[in-house]
Amino acid sequence: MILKLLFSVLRQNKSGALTAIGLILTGDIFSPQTQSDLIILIILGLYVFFIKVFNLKSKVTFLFCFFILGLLLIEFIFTGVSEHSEKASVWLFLFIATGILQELVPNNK
Amino acid sequence: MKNHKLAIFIGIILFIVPFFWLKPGEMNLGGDSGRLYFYDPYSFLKNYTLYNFIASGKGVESIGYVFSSYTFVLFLLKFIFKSPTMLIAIFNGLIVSTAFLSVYFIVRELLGIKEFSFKEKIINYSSILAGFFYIFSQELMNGGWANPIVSHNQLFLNPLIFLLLLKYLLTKNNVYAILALLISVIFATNFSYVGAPTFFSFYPLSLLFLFIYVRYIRRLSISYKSVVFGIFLFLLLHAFHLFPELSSVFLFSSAVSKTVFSVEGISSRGGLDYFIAIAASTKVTLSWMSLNQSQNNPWLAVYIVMPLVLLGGFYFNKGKTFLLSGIFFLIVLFLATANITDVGLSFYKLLFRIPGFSMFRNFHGQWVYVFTFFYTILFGQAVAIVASRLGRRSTFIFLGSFFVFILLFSISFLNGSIPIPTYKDSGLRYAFRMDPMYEKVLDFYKTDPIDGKTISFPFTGPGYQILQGLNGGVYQGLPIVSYVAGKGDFAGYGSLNPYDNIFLEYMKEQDFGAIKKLFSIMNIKYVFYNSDPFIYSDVFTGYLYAHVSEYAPKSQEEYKSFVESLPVGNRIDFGDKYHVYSVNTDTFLPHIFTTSDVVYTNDQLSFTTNPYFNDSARTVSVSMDDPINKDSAVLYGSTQTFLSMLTNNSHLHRHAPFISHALDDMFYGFVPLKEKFDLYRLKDDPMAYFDRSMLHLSKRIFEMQKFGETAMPIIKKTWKQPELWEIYRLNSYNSWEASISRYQSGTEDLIDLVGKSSDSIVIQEANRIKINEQLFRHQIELVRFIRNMNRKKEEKEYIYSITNKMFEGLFQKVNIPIYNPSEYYYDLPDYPGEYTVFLGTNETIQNIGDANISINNKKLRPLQKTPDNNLKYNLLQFDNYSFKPYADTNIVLNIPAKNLAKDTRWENSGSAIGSEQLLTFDVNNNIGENTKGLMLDIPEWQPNTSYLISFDYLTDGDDFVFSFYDKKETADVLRQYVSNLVFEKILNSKTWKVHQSIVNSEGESLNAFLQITAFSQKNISRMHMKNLSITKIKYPTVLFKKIPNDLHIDSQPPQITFTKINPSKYLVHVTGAKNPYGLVFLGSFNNNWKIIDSRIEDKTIIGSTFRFIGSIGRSIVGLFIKDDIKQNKIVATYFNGDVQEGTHKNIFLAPSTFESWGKHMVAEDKHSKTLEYANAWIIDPEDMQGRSEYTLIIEMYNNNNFYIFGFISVFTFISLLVYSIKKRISKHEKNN
Repeated sequence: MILKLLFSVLRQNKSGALTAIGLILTGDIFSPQTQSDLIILIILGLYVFFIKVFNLKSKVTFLFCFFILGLLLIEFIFTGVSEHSEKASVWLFLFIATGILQELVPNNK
Repeated sequence: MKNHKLAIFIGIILFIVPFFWLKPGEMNLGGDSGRLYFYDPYSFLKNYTLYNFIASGKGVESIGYVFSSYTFVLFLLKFIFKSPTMLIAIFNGLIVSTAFLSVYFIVRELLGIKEFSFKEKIINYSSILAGFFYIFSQELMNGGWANPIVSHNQLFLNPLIFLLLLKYLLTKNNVYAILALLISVIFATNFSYVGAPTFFSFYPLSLLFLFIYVRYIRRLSISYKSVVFGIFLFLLLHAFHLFPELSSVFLFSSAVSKTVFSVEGISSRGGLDYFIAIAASTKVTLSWMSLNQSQNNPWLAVYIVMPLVLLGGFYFNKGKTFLLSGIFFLIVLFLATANITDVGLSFYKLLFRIPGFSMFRNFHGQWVYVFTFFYTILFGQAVAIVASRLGRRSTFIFLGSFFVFILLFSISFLNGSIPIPTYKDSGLRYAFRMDPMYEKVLDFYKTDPIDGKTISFPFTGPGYQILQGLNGGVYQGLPIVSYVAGKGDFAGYGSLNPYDNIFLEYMKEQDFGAIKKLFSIMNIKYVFYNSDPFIYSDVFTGYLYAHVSEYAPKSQEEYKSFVESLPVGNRIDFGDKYHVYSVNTDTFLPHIFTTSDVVYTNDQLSFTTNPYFNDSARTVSVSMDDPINKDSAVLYGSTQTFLSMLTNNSHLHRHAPFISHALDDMFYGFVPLKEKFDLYRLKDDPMAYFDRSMLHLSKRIFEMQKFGETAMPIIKKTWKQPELWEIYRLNSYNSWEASISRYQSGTEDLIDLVGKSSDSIVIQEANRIKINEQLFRHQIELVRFIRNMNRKKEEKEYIYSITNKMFEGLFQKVNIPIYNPSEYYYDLPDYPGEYTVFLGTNETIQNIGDANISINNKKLRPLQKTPDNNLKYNLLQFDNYSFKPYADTNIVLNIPAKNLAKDTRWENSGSAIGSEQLLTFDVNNNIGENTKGLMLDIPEWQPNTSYLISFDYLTDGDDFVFSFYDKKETADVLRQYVSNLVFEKILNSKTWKVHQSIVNSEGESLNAFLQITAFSQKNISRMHMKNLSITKIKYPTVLFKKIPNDLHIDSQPPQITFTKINPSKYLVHVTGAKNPYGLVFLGSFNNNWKIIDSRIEDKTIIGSTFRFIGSIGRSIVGLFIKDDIKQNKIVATYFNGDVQEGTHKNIFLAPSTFESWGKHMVAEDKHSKTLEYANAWIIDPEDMQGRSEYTLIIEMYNNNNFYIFGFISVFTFISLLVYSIKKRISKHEKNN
């Protein structure tokens, strides 16, 4: 019952949820903390969960990749190769991998 | 063909471009591979590739067969084009144009399928763009072009072989597969053991890609039978190098095998450690942008367009080929960068557990070609996908912009600035025109009839030769004389191993007598001296002469005088820069000779360089493991002291721990578990286990210092380590009591572990000293921290008391040994007999008359009158001693130690106190710890020496700090010297205690001093000290020379005449061999060197088989080549005609090549290492069936494998070639 409610609230706020993912990614890339696998796992898990919930297509994932690439570019221009650009690069890798998997494993829902 | 016109035109242009990189006559040679095969392929072929023993330095086994096909092709091309410049340009052109065209055709093939249905123009331009992207990629342009080695050929081989296999799998046309196989033979280095990283990085992944693509995307069948047959053909074609290499890999004593299978590869410098070191500096960002890892300019941000196009491709893609390419791209991106998450890095580290994976330790350099290849095919497809979504004009702009962009960034490559760079910092250009004068030097060595070696000065560190070209360019690479003239050249100090460091010392001391001895035993016939000031100028000293320059003459003028003081006579000048000196005839030892005496010793190096025991050049030593001559033996006492384990002050090593979790962190509970797991993984490596435990203890101290002031509470009760099941106590680590308890139990466990270990007493004692020194260091760090921390006084007193109590207990438990500087411990090999005993004296020894040697409860004393000859060689002779079988071989040398502190005085704020008397030191602590205290300069301080500082002290429970400083010169103009704190220790005792410290002075250390300061919190504190002694510790040499029994007769060695047939085969004709004698071959020791008697057959099955194969070979070769039956002219005689040298040849193939096959090997069990590097055989008359005149063959026997497998490869190659031509002709006839 609670799950259903949660799902329904989430579905009504799809753009909000995806914006939150984008903001979290931005926050992580620009934060001074070193990249943590735990954070990656949580964010990526959340995104995979959203793929299921919102029935997201791979194109959305690749749009996120464009967004990450933009952050990478900003970092590279202002700081060169840095801890932040490296974080963006890893996120780019993971999101492209997710996008490819989405295309190869069709979402039946 | 019409569609490919543009691509082929570009291919032709690209082939021509490299012809403008080098000026006429120039060559870009040098580096690790030397690339001398471009300069003189014929000489390279006959001196290096056809044999498994090369004349570099003292000679070394090296499987160079793999270069033979490549060098042979170069030899043919050189025959046609003559100029090495042309040869280099042809190969560079081939690399660039073939790489471009191969990529073009691959991308065309991938884009041409139905799922894309692109327009022809888009396919064509995208494929051309992909070709440009590949060859002009920043990664590859700035990668291997500047210092190309043979593996650089993968730049074009990877796409070319990929294309041919793709075409074969799609069309089933055998011609593609055969072409791929034949090309692989020419460039065999990329498919061999030496090219294993290039092969295994590309082919497994590429073949998997092709398999999935053909089978599941194109849905075509694959003939597995053909694939297996193809692999079989590949093995036959490459048999000439693969099988000799494989036999080395599976020969477990070989260096190759150790590299592949050794567990050391998992953690050693050669494996994981190396990987970890470079992984930290590899950036994923740069790889995404297809930039080189050394590029970091902000304007290179424009390269963001590359991943942007890829993303465009992913966004608009609808086919599976692109996805498949994407998956492989991500895999190689991961492999080329390693830094994709911590889990990814840990996984990568695990891969190093796979035998052989350590070949990828330099992972980025090895995966970058594969990465760029998959990036390229993904890029080509992405460009086409994006372009197909654009309008006509936009497509034109889009593709045009990319062409301009890529070509713009490739200008420095196209004009030759990248492939043939001039380095900005040094101004050096490694492309040069060979000086004709130096070519005359090479001709001299090529035609010289004597089979001797040469030593080249100025001596370099890595063994490179430096040569200035005519146009100012430089050759910096392998010694040319070795690889082109076929004469062993010692160009760097490492090549003189095992005499490398000894030679440097002699060089520094200008000990020409000792150098003469080394010249003899290293078979040095010539000294080559390059007096060009440029090659010994500042631009090279930093790297090439860095270590050697500490010992070598400082300028060319000094070098010239050094060279002329060597045991050399006649000098030949080649122009004003190159000089070849002949080594004096009384110094030169021939390559092969018979011995006058063989001595049995456990230290060949010391024996060989000791003029007292070994004044005759023909007296050679053999190992103790080879009991050959039981009458002549010299035994060296091997030192038994923990001091040998404390070199470079390793006992004073300071660990630098890293903390990632605070003690109150919710995850801290897992830290002890992880530490336990780390130790568990090191359980089979005691040294690493010990070091890691010491690091963990340092971590405890660091935690207390980091969190003790504010975050750590005091619980005022005993703390107990949580058990595994006590999960609820996982956060109980955050208290002072917990940290102190953990430190205490960790140290106690380590002390127990050392005590119970199966290590020798010497290692146990060294480890106890290391623990003790770390305790001292931690104690003062912690006490100082506690005193200075900002907590309540009662809390500080409490923490201070429990800390002190802990250290007191630990110092008692560790209980280090007290070192007696007057006693020296040795062990000898168990070898019974009557011996004369000697002691090698040195400057640290005094009162030698009081010395004695204790052995088996017997005291040996020095002879009352030592012979003058012994004194000349600093040898003190003792009473003789008779060793009985299985007797105790431990010996103790007693010599009164010289106390350097004897006449010194402590200085105390202007006043001085004698150091030997009882010293009482009162301090008023009201003025603080920084009081200067007592200071004492150590007299006779020398660099690279061990010192023992010992004294008794009593502090009545007060703390004092005992410090040791050494003084070094600095580069700072304002401050010429700086005093470094080497160690400091808290001294505290209520009764008299002995303190000892051992310290090794560093190379740059100028002098040193001791300091004692007060550290007590009382207002007035007092310290007493007595019996201060400072002694240099240098173990003198103890030798036992066996007295020959009455039956020992020195026999006259036989006469021999030796002739070199080729680098791995010599003929030795022996006459007058009536007694046992030693035959010495001055080339690196190798078990594969065999002596063969061609008159006696080996009756074993293997022998018969080899004889049979040899007889076939002899018959076939005899049809084309006849044996050289010219009279063997004598070119030199030595030892009054005992040894004669015949005219040397270099015969690779003749009927006589097979004369040793399946024949009897002589004295195999009496083959041993002599002079610590060379080969010696003891030959008895019985070994030769009582004959006194015979001919022996000395041969690297495993070189025969090359003839067998080489024949298989050549036969398969010709058969395949004939088959392809025949098929082509029949197809042509059918079509007509």
